[in-house]
Amino acid sequence: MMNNRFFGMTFKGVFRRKTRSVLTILSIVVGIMLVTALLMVANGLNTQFQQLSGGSGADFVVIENSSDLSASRVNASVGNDLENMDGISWVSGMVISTANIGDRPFAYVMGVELDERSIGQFHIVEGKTLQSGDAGKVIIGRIMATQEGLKIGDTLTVKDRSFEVIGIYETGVSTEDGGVVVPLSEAQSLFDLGDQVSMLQVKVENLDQVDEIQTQIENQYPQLLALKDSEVASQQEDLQLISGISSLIALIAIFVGSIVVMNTMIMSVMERTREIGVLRAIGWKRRKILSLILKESFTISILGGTIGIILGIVLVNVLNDLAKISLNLPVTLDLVVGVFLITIILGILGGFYPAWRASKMSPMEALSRE
Amino acid sequence: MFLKTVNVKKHFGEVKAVDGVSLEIEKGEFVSIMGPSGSGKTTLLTLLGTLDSLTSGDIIIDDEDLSSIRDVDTFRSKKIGFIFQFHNLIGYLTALENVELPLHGLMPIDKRRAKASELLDLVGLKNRMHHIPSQLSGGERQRVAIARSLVNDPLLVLADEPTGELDSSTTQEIMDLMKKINQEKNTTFLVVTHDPEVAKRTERIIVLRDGEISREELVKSASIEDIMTLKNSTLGHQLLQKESTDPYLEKLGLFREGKLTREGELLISLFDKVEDL
Repeated sequence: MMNNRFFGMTFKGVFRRKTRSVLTILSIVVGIMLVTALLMVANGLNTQFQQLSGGSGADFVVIENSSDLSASRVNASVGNDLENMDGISWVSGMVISTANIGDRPFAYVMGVELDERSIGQFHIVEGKTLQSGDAGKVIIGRIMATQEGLKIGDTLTVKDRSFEVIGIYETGVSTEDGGVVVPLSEAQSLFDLGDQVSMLQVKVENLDQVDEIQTQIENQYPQLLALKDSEVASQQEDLQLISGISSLIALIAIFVGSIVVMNTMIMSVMERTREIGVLRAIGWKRRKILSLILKESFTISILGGTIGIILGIVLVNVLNDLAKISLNLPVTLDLVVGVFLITIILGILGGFYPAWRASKMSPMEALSRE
Repeated sequence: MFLKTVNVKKHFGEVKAVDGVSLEIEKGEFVSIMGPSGSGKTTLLTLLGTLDSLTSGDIIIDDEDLSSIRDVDTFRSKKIGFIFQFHNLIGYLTALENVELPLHGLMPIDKRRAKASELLDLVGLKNRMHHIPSQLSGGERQRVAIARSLVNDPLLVLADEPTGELDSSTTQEIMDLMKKINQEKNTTFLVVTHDPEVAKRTERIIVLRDGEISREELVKSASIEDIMTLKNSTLGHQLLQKESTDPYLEKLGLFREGKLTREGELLISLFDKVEDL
């Protein structure tokens, strides 16, 4: 028998009509699951962009003022010019693109200069790193190696060109660890870039001057953007779209969810006119009735929300594995609290009106004759 | 006086549901209210139970004027118990949980539990505490409802057709139970009923008609009823005629040579006394 000490009466009230309550909870589960999944993807993408300058120690990156990082083109000559600018310590060009490698449709292919600080951000855990003149050679990320079953000495095909695997690296950024690194010149030729790069990593001599130098670069080259890690994500239209969609879905989930809860609770309250009348007649105050019904709607939404969050996390991880996207998908406290907040808002919105109606019911209903 | 109403009126627009009822009920009395449907019985009960407000008049219960009470919910939860026609138990709660409902928020759960099971014991349902209403018979459900009405130790129990849904033997059983509680706890009972058999088991009958008290009578006990029956029998007829040729009545000494004796006279005076009650 269920313990009546805490939520006993509420639970029994909710599951008085089992099918209806389960269906209501299910609809909330679906909504919250979608919200959780989308927020996690948006978070994951955000995090990924924030790690662009990675372990190189660069202070900011310079990209083209275009819609998308993958479409960004910066002339290598700009890099040379920047290197001579006052206050800049060093500049390193980098190509970032995606290609189909093995089972992975959107594996990262990164072209990196072969000096120590640039290639050095890819910490070798097995084999050796790329060196000047290493044509036709590649180092691969740990996730790529594991998932594709690649070892040192194996051959890898990128865009119809064969590369020999000479090392395996690990950076901790899952998209990087799911990709490959080739010398910058090889990448430029693979993707027909000529002497262009996707972005320049820039290190300044004095951190106090970062903002000033960023502004100076943007003034001098109006077609370019100089962005710190944290600013990159906000410049990405795709990312904004995904964030926008997840916010929209969250709003729709709150809206639809609260209507579903409201519908269920209104039906429940109407069916229990006599019950509520009896409770009033035996001395229950209006606010006690209000809290009884609110507790029930909270129970429905929180049950649905909890299951939805769990299933959303599972769903995203399963899809991530199936599609081999290797997005970092941390379950953050912010996310869980945020989604829970949505659930609670949904419970209040859906429960308040029925609860208010219940509290207005007359105790005389207890004596009605029908 | 424990309960007193003075010229109580309740009008719903043109309809005068209760129209000037004045009555007095002593502590511990067991009173029934009868009357045809629409006579205002249930409305009067809702007024006494603080479920509805008066159009005019005064109701005083336990020295408190109802019109001056701000928080009628609390007053009701402390002083009044209700028994309804359709037991009105909550279907998804057990007998025990139903009985403890009036105590929610008034005392901690352990005390609530103890009190509720004590009352279920009193109404003879100790073994049925964890059953839900659909697992109980009609009589058992009404017993649970009685236990619920008593759990807050009310001074006044208002019962609205408490036996309306029950067969005659169960009706007797429920009336016995209410009388027992009435005597043991000195709880005042006010029972609305249309069943004369139920009314006869109370101490006083108040008959309503068109919202007013049309008649009030004290209920005579069974022994008094027997004397009345005797009066209306052939024997009673002969005694009242003061003539009999029945040799057996001669042998009993009620008549001698066809004339009434002193013993016979005594019986007739008994009939007169009963008539005057």
